[in-house]
Amino acid sequence: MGKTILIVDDSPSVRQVVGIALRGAGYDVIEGVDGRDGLSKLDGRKVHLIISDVNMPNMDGITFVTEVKKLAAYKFTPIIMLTTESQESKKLEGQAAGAKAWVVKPFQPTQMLAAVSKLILP
Amino acid sequence: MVALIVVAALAGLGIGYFVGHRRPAPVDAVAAQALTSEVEGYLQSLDEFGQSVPKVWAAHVESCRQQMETAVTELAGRFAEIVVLLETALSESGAGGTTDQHYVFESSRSQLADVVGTLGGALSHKRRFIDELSGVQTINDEVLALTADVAKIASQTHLLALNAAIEASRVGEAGAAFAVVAVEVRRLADLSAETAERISGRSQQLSGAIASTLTAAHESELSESSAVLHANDKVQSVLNDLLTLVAGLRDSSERIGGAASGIKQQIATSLTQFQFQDRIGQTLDHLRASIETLPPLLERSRADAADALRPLDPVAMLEALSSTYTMAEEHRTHGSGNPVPVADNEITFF
Repeated sequence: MGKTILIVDDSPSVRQVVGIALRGAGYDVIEGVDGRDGLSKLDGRKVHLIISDVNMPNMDGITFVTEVKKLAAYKFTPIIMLTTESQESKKLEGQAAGAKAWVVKPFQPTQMLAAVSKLILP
Repeated sequence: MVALIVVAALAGLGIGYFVGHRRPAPVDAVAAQALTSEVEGYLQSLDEFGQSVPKVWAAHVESCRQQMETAVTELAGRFAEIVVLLETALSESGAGGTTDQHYVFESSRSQLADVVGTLGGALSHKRRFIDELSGVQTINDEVLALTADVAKIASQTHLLALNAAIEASRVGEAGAAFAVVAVEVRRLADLSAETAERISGRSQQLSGAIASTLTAAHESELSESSAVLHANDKVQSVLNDLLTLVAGLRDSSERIGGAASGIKQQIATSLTQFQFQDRIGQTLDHLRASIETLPPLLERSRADAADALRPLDPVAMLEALSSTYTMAEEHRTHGSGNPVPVADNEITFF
């Protein structure tokens, strides 16, 4: 059984593109359409890594990361922010919230997979 | 942006017109009334412009954004399905490929070798049978020689008995008994000769039968040996043909697999290009939000005009637009007034 990665992004095409890259590398993928939906996916199942957008409706990515870190079962789950945001202040917000990496779109699948491989839980 | 420029230009023209007509003191009440009416009309048109045009612009922008998002999502989905189908095809091709073919081929080769080996074994048995039969022939020849010896002994015994009878008759009454013995010996010698002759006859018949059998067996052995060699050659030929066919299929399968793998990689790489939709979608969203601020802005300007005509502030509106930007190229485009290329992606680890 492969490792599970949660993708949280309001763009269906981005979820598909990221999902294809991850599934192609052998990971199991679950999806959330925004921060709130992403939180609902953290229902006790084992999630080895989370990839989240920043700008999303209902619950933005920074708030989502903050909320994830409050969950005992997921507080150590590494989170990669995947976003078009490149402002340093936003990156610092993400870092403060507990994200482990900041990837600016458009990403190359090989680079994304390298980052995932580096951070994913054993 | 176009909307802002147009509205700012219209507002500038209006203000210029208003100022140009307001500064000089009205020559009379009629002229003042006409000027007021003209300004009112202009402000009304500005109000109507703000209420109608930006909404249409925003609607078109949002429509484009949604159409693009729907189309790109659909395309990405289709491409994803193609990638999955290619993966399945590659997996199936690998599963039924060289390993199974190699196993079937080696199994067939082994079974056919068993068949040829069985035929060769039967031929060996036949050769041993022929050898045994040759041994029987040799023994029969020896028996034939022995019967000749027996006949010779019988002949000599017969002659000896004849001489004994002659000698017995020469001695008269005293040799009468001996003459009887001599007759009996001669009779036994004759019987021995007859028996030897019968045995010789049978033995010659047996020799003839064995010779015929051996001839037939040798001919059969030659024929079967040739058949086994021929079968072996045929089996090798068929196996070589099969090997060529299997190698061709394997090469073909590998080439198809390589092509499918390349297509899959190309599609997967192409899919990453769909990320443009997310970036363009966000830019259009920011633009739509900015356009939507125009009607209330014009409305406030219209309301303020009752007290004083204040120029619209493009700087404030552009700053508000800029504050919504999330991407570096939005800032660069805003600053330069021209399209800019998207920067390479970057990864920052914390």
